[in-house]
Amino acid sequence: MLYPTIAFAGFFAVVFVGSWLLRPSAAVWKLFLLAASYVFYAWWEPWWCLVLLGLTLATQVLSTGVHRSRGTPAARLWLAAAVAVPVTTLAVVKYGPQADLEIVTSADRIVAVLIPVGISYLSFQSVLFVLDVHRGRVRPAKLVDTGLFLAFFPRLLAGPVVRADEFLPQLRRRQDPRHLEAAPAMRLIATGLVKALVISNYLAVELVDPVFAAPADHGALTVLAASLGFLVQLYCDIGGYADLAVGMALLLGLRLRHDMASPLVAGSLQQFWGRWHVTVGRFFRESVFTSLGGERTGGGGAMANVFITFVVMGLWLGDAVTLVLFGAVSGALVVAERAVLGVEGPEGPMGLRRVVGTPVTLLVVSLSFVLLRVGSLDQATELLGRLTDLGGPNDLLTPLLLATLATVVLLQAVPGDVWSGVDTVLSRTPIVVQAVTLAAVLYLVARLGPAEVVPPFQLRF
Amino acid sequence: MASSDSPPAHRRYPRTRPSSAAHVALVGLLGFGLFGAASFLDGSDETVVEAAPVDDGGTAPTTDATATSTGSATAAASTPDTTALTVPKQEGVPRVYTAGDSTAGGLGTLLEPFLVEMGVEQRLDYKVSSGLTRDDFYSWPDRLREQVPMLDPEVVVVMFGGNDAQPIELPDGRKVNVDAPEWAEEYGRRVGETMDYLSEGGRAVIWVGVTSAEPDSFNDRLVVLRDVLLAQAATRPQISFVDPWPLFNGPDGTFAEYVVDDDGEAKSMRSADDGFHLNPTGAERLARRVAVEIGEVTGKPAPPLPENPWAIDGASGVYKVQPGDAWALIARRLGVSTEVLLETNGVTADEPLYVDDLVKVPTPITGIEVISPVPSTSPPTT
Repeated sequence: MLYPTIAFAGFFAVVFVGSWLLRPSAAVWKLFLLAASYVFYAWWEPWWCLVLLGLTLATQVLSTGVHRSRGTPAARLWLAAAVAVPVTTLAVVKYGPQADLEIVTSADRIVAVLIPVGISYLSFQSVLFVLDVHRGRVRPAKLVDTGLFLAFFPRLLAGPVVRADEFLPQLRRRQDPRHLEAAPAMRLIATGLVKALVISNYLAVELVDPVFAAPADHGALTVLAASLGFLVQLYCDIGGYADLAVGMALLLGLRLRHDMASPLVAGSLQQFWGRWHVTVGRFFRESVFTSLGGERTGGGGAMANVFITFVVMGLWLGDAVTLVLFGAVSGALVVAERAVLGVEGPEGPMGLRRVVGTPVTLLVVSLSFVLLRVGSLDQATELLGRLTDLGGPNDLLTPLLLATLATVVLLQAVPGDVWSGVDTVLSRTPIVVQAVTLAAVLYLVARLGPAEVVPPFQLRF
Repeated sequence: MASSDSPPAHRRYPRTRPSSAAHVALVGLLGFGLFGAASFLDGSDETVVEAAPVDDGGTAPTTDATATSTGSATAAASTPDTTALTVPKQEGVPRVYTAGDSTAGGLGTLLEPFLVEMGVEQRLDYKVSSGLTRDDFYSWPDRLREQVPMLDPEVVVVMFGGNDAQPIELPDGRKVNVDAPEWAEEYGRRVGETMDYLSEGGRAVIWVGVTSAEPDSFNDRLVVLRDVLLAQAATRPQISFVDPWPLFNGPDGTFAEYVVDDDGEAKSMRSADDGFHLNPTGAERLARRVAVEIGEVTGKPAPPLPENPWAIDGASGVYKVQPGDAWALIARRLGVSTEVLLETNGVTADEPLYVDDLVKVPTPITGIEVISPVPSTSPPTT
């Protein structure tokens, strides 16, 4: 069951009640959540649970081995094994036997890459965990903890990728059932549902899909809007599911890092990639970039490392030329920006550079993301070629559509304080008002969303 | 939207008041209860009831459509509420259930305005990349048996084929290619079974065939498929078979991107990227004819086909010259040789072309089945 469904809501209600009833006894509570997570995963396909179990056991063995061998020559071997295991799992599962399926229809292609869902994120967590143990950031944990760290169901399908040092300590802390951060949780679940079910679907059906299917039927402005529309659709998918994951975790008393930090109003490409799909970007930075030497290899070397990291990300996305090219192009653009504008500080560009940089960044990113959506290079060139036809029809660009795009982008400029303020107001309203608000959001989403919940775009990876 | 997983460092607002787990449970219970009541009261069958099961191959997007079985915003897509046994109908309004693959989606979408005008209700249920061949991806027999009793339509319109011209699995487990005789036998069996099921009880069934395709290898397979469809329909007089094949071919009976429409003007009927799918103009041409069939069955007359004033002087219609056109390009678009095009227009290759000129489209070669628009009796108004 996908998260935004009635069936899952029922499942979550049961887990929510069970979790808080069992909280006083840490060991039992962890086992309960672990069991619930496996039940959730088994709902999709029971044999994936075996994969999950295997990965858990391997991670446990490897993290312990890496920890014990720190400082000894054997450490390198353990590390190599540690990285090889999840990577192999990922490769086998993505490019293994089902890759030999006769890919006659695009349906075959989808089935081949959709199995098993979200295993990328599991592999990332495993690799990061072992790396963190090696770097001394975290100690190996009990098997149950490791198991829950990998299987925690709110983030099992679509991330975010959780860091061990952010998650494991929370399992040992006592949580008071009288102090749930209910308001931010409910707000996130509401916005998550709206983003993932309503906005994402609306943009896909009304703009992105028609234009990408037949670019010749549309004018330059529409094609441009569709490129931006795809970026926003993807943001709503990833961000929406991240909202749901963070919200659900909060309801269970656990904190996860959000996957999107207002990327659409980033002032530069470097800032964009630091804010888009944060936890996955963090994985590539910590595993690939840092291992290559990161910033320490100085000027040209660092740039090369950046580029290589992006290409590896492209390869992770898939074996299609367009995907690898996406990685390479994105990497090249970031390197170019670094060369021209220098490495950015943590606050990003300021002043005029920010004002000018924000729309430019959005434009550049929208156009580069086209590569993620098209089925072939020909389609990409055809689509981008349409940008020169200023006279073509633009009838898809209704005021509602444009307003939707603008709203999603502009809402990202709203500072976090405002959202906290909303949470505060929400938390002080009476129960009945909160319930009515929840019902209203659910009703809205049910009416405006698709009749059948489709898996979000990013589950292809 | 900014993340909120840490409170602001300096609090300008009063602190968010935490709630107890019991409080959350109560809100959740009340909220869902209210939502359920509201959905039930307004009789909505568009509730988010269940996820698209992944072992059907999922409904994850292909490169051409994320909107899978929901159809477009204009068609009344439906996943009937699982608590209702039937989907209620309006008095005196016949219901059409349109099912199939992405081509059915295009057809259904363009059929909707005609049906609205006729006072007929449509339920569009299409699934991209689906068909009768690959029931491991999506089982139409199952789907139809679920939807048809629930919707109880007066007319069922079905369009498959684009995804069906591929190896099929026989009951004994062997997979055979389209050119094998067993393929035609098995596919024919599935089509026949579906036709029989849909027409049970005297229900009107309009089975729409396939169009030709530009790539030869694909087209060859479609020819086989079309023959199977024709054969199955031939033995079932209760099935109305609409054959798009001759409707979208050039004068020589093969694939043409530009085809003379019912109003006499040659238009691009195919989608730009794949040499097969109909674009909205083509889908509308097909929809017009399907609407006529629906009109005959339901007694709600369909809008008449437009008149073609251009079928004169040995032409079946006209093509309006676009910027950048040349004789050879126009000929290729129309699916004729350059010589025939020049001859029909009585010119030589160096005759200049001007934008908005009207070029005559050659008539079909005798003996080749191509459906040209019917000539009208009134003279053309330029």
